[in-house]
Amino acid sequence: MGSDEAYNFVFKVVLIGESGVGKSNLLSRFTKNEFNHDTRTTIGVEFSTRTVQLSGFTIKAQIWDTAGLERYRAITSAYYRGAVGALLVYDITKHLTYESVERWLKELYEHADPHIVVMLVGNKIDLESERSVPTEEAKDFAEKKGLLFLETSALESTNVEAAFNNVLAEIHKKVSSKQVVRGSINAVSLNTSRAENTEENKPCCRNI
Amino acid sequence: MTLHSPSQDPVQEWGEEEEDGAVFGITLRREPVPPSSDAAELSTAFGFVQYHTVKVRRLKAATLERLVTHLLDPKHQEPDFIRVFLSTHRAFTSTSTLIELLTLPPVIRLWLEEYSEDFHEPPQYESLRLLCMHLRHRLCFRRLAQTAATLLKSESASQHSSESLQQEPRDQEDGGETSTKEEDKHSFMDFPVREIAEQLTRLDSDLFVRVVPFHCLGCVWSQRDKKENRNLAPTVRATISQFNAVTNRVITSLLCPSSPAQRARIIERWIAVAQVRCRQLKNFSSLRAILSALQSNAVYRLKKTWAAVSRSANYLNMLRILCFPQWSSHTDYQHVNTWLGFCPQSFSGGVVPYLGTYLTVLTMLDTALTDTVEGGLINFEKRRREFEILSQIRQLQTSCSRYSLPVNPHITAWLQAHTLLTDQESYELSRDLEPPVDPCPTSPNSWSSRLLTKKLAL
Repeated sequence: MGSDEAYNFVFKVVLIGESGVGKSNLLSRFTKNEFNHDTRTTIGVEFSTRTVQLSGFTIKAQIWDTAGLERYRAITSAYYRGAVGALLVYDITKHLTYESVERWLKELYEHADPHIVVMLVGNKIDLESERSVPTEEAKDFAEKKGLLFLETSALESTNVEAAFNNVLAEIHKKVSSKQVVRGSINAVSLNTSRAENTEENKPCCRNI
Repeated sequence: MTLHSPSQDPVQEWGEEEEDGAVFGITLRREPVPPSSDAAELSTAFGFVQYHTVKVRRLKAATLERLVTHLLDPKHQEPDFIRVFLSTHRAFTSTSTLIELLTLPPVIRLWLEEYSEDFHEPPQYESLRLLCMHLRHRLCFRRLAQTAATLLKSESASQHSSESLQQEPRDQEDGGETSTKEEDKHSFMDFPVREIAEQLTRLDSDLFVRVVPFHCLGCVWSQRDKKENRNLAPTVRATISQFNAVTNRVITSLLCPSSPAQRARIIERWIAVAQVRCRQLKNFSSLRAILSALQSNAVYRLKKTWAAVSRSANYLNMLRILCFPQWSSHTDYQHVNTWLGFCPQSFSGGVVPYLGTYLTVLTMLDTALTDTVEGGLINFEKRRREFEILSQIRQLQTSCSRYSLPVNPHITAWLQAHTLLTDQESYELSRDLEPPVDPCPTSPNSWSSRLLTKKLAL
């Protein structure tokens, strides 16, 4: 950590979802507890980074987690700005956390770039016996909304790498296919709920 | 003749030793042999220093009983053990259990003198009463019993004043405050920049010194959202309410009917408060709060206003880094972090940190390290790591006594009495002031910014 290695892209990815679903755990797994080795270096760094190789490119993933900061209003309001990917996490054993997914999506699309790559993540599959959200149900929902989907276990490290890497690969794909060049917003299918406010759909008006 | 100390690391991890109910980490350390009279002569004569290897044991994990035994065994204890234990014990046991287990006067004395917040349990003060009772039963504890009784008296006496403090924090989520006349009488532009920063620092440091470090631990603070824990960590929440009040004050001062040029002057003034004065006063809480307000959705989108903001100051570069970290290299970020005082390495005056940094680190530590290790032993290494952070907080709290700031009732009233806006309200006000326009080529767009990132990185 802290070395300025050469990279081709920096992608900001945010973790969202109800508290207690294991967002920080996923992050901690993915960044391999790097802050673990030297606490001092992480003081003041609000995100964790990990560099990954994807089809010959070096991609630096900056993963933002609101760990401990949820009550700072202004801090969380700028959280989505500049994010090109999001992991929307729920707990497969707590149906309420899944029901709130729609609310999180709305907030995300209101404040983030409309082209943002979103993955719906059902965490805690190590607790299969307590499952209350069927895989198929979440999968169908994700498909309908145009989201990527994966189930993970941060505890057992199942699918954690895959979840982050798939999101990064999808972002990279969008970037290289120039799908997201200004004015081509129709190339990305958008959540219908957002059509109510057409102004919000214009990508570069979003944050100004 | 010069002597060279050995170049290799004098400390070496050697392994672990397991005993009944405890795991010790063993390190080997090379230390110079203290010169006895004979050896001293030898070493001056031959120019060498004798080293010997010292085996250092560090308690890594143990049962509660074993931890307490270790506490009572100063001979075999690592120097910080008692402090780590007292700072963090409520993460793995309760105060009353500990009272039952403790029998050693020096530990109880340190507890009463330096960690008395553990006994702050109004209105009944059960633990303190229990401790008084325990101490009274034994002769050797007579003096300590007096200390405890005095603490109980002063706690009860200060209960009234602390009650009024608890009502004081203006928690915005509980909302519902309206503006007072004070706000209308004074305008932000009339107040001297220095005095605004001084009042902010006075308010911030007052709240920060009251923070109970233990409340910042992940196991306490990360429970904050669960309904039944709503009253947890009031001292931490008070600092956050103040932080939110400052951001709100900045936002409301900007979202009143005015021209872009007028708003630009207000932004410049707030930046002067933050960048020049708060920074001088090492008040990183308000500094961060003001910058966050300027980045909030409602203010950030005021394009005409920002266009009228003077570019002379270098703060724009800093704002750019804060707003678009994906544009900047890691070094930039570290620079800004150091600049913002997130890693205050040296300080001669008072420092008020942005507590959020510590809350994040402690939440992540709590996430990454388990509470117990194999065999259900308490993971004391985790507590040691947390203690490092808690002691930094304590150190900064001590530094706050070096502030001596005058009270300015007008500015304080102006800072505290104001209309509270929700994010939605401020966003709507902002759109009334500067209605959204068509897509414009100069606007920051995260996708196009990647090209810049590329340029910076390669």
